[in-house]
Amino acid sequence: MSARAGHRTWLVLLSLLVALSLEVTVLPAELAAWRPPWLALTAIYWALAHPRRYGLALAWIAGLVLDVLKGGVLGQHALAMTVATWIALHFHLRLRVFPIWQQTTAIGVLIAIHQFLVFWVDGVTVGAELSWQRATPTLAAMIAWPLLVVLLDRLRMQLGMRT
Amino acid sequence: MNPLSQNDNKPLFERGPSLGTRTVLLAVLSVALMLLDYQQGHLETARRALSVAVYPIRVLVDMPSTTFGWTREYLSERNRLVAENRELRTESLRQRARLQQMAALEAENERLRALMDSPARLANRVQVAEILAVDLDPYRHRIALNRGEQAGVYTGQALLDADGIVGQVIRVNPLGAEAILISDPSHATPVELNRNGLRTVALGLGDVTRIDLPFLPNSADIRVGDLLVSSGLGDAFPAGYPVARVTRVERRPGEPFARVEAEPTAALNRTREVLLVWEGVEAPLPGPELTPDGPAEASPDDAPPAGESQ
Repeated sequence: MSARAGHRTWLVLLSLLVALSLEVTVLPAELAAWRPPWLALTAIYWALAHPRRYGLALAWIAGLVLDVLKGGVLGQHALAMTVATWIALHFHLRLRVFPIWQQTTAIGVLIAIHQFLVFWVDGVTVGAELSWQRATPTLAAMIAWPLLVVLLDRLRMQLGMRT
Repeated sequence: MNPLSQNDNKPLFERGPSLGTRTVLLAVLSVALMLLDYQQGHLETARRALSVAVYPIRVLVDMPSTTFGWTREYLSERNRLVAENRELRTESLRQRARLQQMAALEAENERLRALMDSPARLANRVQVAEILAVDLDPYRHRIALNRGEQAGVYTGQALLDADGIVGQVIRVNPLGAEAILISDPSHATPVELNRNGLRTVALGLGDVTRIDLPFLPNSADIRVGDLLVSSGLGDAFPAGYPVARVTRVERRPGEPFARVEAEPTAALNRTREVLLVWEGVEAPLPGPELTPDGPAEASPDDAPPAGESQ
């Protein structure tokens, strides 16, 4: 049991590390606005998969690391990810049994809230203006979510982890 | 997502604070962090510690493009390399010829300055730093550098490339640094017109191909094609380096200021290497008498107050 739990933590940390790298990987300029919020999606995935083990604290710490990595205001992504993960945890019993398209829609709403919080803090600190580009990460997240679920579900299955 | 099972079900009795309480606590903590970080900047030690932990991620993300560069160099054809080498040799020869003149001119300049009793200009030390191929934030023009405290980088240090001013360092970590580009919307560069010494401030627009000069009156003597150089006011940048070239001048009779835009001379989004500048330690306060072209009186009276005008 403990070995398995160790495995889990290992995979969770690795997936978060990969998500962090994807958050700052260079994209072509035309695609830069289409970067899905990988870290938030990964944290939400683990919160839904193991709600009693990986929840708010993990999301908050991951958000803080992302803030340092991106060089923004400390606490910006931490706040957004805490709120998004909280909603995911609050509805996790329902979200987990949704069919994938319905789940994706719900995640879209969650990420929209996440993006709004990020934008809000941007607006207060550096003065951001609303443009259609602010909506693209949400759409990108809805494209990325099914892929993420398939990939991480398969990894968990192969490593013999059962929820 | 797997269907639910035993051990994730809600226990009959909740232990510890409830989900809502924990969320509120963490949210309040985040907001407190933001206030402390943004308003007072108290969290530099915490940020430094975390940034050391985060630096490997930046290097990791940078690795594919670095490896790609190496591989391309390694695999490129001999002919091409020879041609490139020859080209560089010619270029170097040409530059050296110009440098010979430069030495004579520098000496002459020093003599003239001594005659006029004005302080000598000190040479600047430069070092090459590499920009890590990392996208920090699409809405802010920030870059990550691979030189930090260990190389003597300091906050506020100017960054140049081969063609002009790129930006300045805003945050230094033990291993790396973060810099803001002159095109960031929250950045202002004190500049002057190379042709007549007219001083003003250039603001970033969030677009790497243009910067804004909002404080020039309609009567200002400025034309398309004029070169803007750093004025050295505000002590942020060394004086006399090219910043931008004016691309658009629109005089609007109904408005107090003309609409003037310029294109940065530095390749803001295309360079991979930048130069970090250490100004001479004993550098005097740069004043109008230190402008590279034209005497101090060249600045016309209708020029707006420079630097601090915003």
